[in-house]
Amino acid sequence: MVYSEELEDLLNRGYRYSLALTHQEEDAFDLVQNAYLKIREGNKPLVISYLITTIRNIYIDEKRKQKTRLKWFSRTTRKESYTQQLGGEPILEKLLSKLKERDREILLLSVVEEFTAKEIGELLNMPRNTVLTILSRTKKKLKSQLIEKC
Amino acid sequence: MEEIDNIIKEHYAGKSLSTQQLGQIVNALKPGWQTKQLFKYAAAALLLLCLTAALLMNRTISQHHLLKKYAEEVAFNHLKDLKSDIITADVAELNQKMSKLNFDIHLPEAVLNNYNLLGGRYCSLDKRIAAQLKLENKEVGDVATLYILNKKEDKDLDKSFLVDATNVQIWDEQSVLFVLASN
Repeated sequence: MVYSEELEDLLNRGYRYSLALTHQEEDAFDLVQNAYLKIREGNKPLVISYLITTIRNIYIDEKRKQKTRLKWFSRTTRKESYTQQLGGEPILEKLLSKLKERDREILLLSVVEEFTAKEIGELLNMPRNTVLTILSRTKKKLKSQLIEKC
Repeated sequence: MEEIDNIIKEHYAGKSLSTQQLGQIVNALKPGWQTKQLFKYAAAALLLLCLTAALLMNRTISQHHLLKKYAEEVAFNHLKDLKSDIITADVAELNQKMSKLNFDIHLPEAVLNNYNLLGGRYCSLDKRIAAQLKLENKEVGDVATLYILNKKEDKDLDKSFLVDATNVQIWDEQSVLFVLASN
C-alpha cells in the first residue's frame, strides 16, 4: 500500500510519542501500529491529537493488564530490556531512560510536539501548573546530568 | 528556545520508523476492512429508509382512519335528517345568517351543477365548527347532506367511502373541506 508524506509524518510523530512512553523501540512500534489500526478500523479522525490519545489509552490498558501478570516475570523481563538498552548508548538516551515515563511524556509533548501546558494538562488530566513544574524540573535535571556526564 | 530543547528535539528527530516498518503498519489493516465500513454505512442507510417508510405509512394510515371517521359521522347525521335552521336557496343569505362560521360558504361547481340548496344549520365535525347544508338532487330529488368546514388535514383528501348504504365523498378546495353524504 502506498502512503503519503503526511501519513509518514503522522506515524513518526506517533512513534516518537510511544517511545517517550515506553522507551523501548519494539514496544513503541507495537503501540503506534495498534493505535493506527484502531483509528482506521473505527473510522476515526487520523490526526495527531487523536493518535496521541489513542496511543496513550492503549498504553494505559496494557500497563493495567501487565499488573495482573506474575510480578517476578515482568520484572525480570523489564530488567533484561533495560540492560540491553544501556550498553553503548548515547548519554541522552541513558538519561531519558532513567526518567519517569510521565516526565518523559511531558517533555516530548512540550518540546517535540509543542503542545501547550494547558493541552498537556488536559490530555494527562493534570493541572497546568503541575505540568509546568514537572517540565521545568525535568529539563533542569537533564541539563545538570548532561553537563556532569560531559 | 533553550539549548536543552534543541538537544531533545534533535534526539527524537533521529527516531523514525523505517520504510519497512511504515509499510508494515499501513499494510496491517485487515483485508476487507473497507467492505466492512461500507456494510456499516449501508445498514445504517437501510435502517433510516425503513424508519422513514414506516413513518410515512403510519401517517397515511392515520389520515385514512381520520377521514373514515368523518365519513361515518356525516353519514350518521345525514340519516338523522335534522331540519335546517335557515331555509334558503341562496348561498349569500346563508353566509349572512351563519356569521359565526370562520369561513365563507361557497358551493363547488360540481355541487351547484347537481344539487339545489335547501337550507343550512350550524354543526360540528371532529369538534370543529361546520356548516351542515341540506341539498336536493336536481335529477332524482333525493336529499343530500353537505358539511363544509376549515381544513386542517394534509394533502390527498380526495376520498370516497360507503358507510352502510350512504355514499360519502370527501374532498378539499384550497383551505376548505367538503364532506357530501348521499344515498
